[in-house]
Amino acid sequence: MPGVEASTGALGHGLSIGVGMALAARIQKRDSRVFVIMGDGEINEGSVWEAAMCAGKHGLSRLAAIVDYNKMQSAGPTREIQDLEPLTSKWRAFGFSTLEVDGHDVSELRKAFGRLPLDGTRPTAIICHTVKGKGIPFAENDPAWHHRTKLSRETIADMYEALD
Amino acid sequence: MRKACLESVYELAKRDPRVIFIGSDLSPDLLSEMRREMPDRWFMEGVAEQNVVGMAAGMAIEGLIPYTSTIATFFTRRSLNRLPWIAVYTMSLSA
Repeated sequence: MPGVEASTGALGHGLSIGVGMALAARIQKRDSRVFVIMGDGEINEGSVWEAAMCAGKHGLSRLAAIVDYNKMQSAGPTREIQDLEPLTSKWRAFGFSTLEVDGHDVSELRKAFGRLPLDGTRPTAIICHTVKGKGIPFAENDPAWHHRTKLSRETIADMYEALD
Repeated sequence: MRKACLESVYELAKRDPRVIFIGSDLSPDLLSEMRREMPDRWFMEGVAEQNVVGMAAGMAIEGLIPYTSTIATFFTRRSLNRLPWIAVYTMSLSA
């Protein structure tokens, strides 16, 4: 799909691919920018931090790492399963400039993206504070909705109602 | 064999500007001529095999031809999880 060159799987490989794409742009003297979206559970993967170190080393200012930080991973709250705090400081320690935004506020997101790069010598990490299942009241913040396969007709109707 | 492989990467790089070398914390004088002549296409990254393979995939998606090299024992199994996905991306590009 144009604009989305790599998928989310395998978990934790996206940032390395983004590093490669940003380095390629530098070698080919293109001014394109690279955005990598990651889940908060996903950044438990060690490979994310391998890539973060590398992005910091190369000062990839055209690379932005976006973290969907809804504080809920598959098995439960991130603070219980694998606490990520202090998350912003971690990215900073790996050589990134950082921004924290309300990930549901489109105008705030536009403003944040409009400010990129925050620093011409560093990649940027945007920590998006979000609510898992936002907009579907009975699914919000409930890890049981992380992945589901069987939905009753009644539940599907309730979901449509919540979206209306 | 190792020397011949690495020298071949340098020879290929002289002929094709898309050729890139990425190593993972190898010896200090490795491909030093290539490093001197084409510093923007010679990379020596840390001990991070998954990252090296992911980086190479990102470069390949953008039309470059990266060659990666490090110690087989670590490279093969640590990076194995990445390879099928990367094959899919690069195949879909050439299709």
